[in-house]
Amino acid sequence: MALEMRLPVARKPLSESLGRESKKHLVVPGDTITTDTGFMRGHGTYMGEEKLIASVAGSVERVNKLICVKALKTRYNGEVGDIVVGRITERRRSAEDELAMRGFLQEGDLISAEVQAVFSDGAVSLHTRSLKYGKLGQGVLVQVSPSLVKRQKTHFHDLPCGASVILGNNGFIWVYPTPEHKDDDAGGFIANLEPVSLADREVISRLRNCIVSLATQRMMLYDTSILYCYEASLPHQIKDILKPEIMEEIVMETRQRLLEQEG
Amino acid sequence: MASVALSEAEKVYIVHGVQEDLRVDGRGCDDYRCVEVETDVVSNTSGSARVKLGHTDILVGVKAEMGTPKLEKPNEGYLEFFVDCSASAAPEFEGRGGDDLGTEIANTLYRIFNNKSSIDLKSLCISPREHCWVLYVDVLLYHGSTQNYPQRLSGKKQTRYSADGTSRTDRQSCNEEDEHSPAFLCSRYRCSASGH
Repeated sequence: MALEMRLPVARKPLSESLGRESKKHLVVPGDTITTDTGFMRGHGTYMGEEKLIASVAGSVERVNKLICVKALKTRYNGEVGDIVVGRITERRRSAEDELAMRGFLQEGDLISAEVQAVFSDGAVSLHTRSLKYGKLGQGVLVQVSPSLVKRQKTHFHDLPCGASVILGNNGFIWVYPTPEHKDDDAGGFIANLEPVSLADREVISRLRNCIVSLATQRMMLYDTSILYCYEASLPHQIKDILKPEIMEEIVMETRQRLLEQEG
Repeated sequence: MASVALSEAEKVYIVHGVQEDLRVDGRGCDDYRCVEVETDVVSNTSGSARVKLGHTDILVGVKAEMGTPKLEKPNEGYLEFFVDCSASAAPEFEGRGGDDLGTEIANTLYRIFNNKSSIDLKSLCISPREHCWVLYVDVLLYHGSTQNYPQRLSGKKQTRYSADGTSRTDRQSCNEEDEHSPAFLCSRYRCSASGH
């Protein structure tokens, strides 16, 4: 039983390792973005004393005449149509609810759902009115910052490496074994508690570590980045991915590959 | 300590995984996450260390002072522990919320170090029945809420003795730690099976 001990190492600032030419314009709440009043105010800004001031900490984005500040780390703000993965923490205690739902959903269960409406106080109402949503069975949950989940057409991905992933917009990412056949009549509420094979488990654990590495290095999470990271991690043992130097190496390779693919 | 709610299916997945010696993060049941250790961080102590494991961050300082041996053990020095769970570690530690956990950990530490294989208390004796060294150990938990505090704290004591010039206890590296010592047994007992 070997225990690895290490001394602390000073962290390298991310921009050095990225080699970005254009520096992001970073602001904190209260910073002046511009004194030019010709711009329209977007999210994260407000007008005060003839200047545009930032109200959140993040990077300034400018689209023609619209200036907004995109927060780097933020609580999840629901938008209609978002896919979310959530855990049931509390439920209504009424008689009809008891009769109808107790058998299917309990406190602590994970579900995938879509945002139906957003209230003015920020609360969202969810629906699972499609067979692809519903209670989640066996798998692993990874929690990351919501700002790292890229908005895409679909958030349900069956990855070629042998597992599937649901990228919730709220930062909850669910990694699970790909179901062998789609059970349409089950409707997703009856969990399959059969043991998952060791090969599938290893894929899931590796994916989970890759997602954690990408999130630690502040990379955007989407199917391609996760897949490239998985492939970059294959030469290493699954448990080694969590080591800081290996994590950096893998994410560097992923970043390189993504840049090549773009340009 | 913070508890995580899990669905039945997640629990089943974890348990089956443990039966096959594979935790959710790919480690085997006996594998540790990597530990980061820094010594000599607090200047006004005889020795100090900071240990990071996973999400947990602990700071320990030891001050050696002269005192009188206890009546029932006139040839030995002794240790006094004080554990402070800072409110920044977990929301429930706000105010006096962390006191219960702190007392529990301190009691566990007393039991661990009340044993010849962890520390030779006779080496702390200066002159029997009159003078001895008293080691005041202060522990500060300032991040994280995982299960294995006592294990990590006993590891820290070993690290710290190397920085503490006044102690005559031999330094033991954690890799060579005796399998049967109470610290090790405690860590095995406490190690939670759901790797996170």
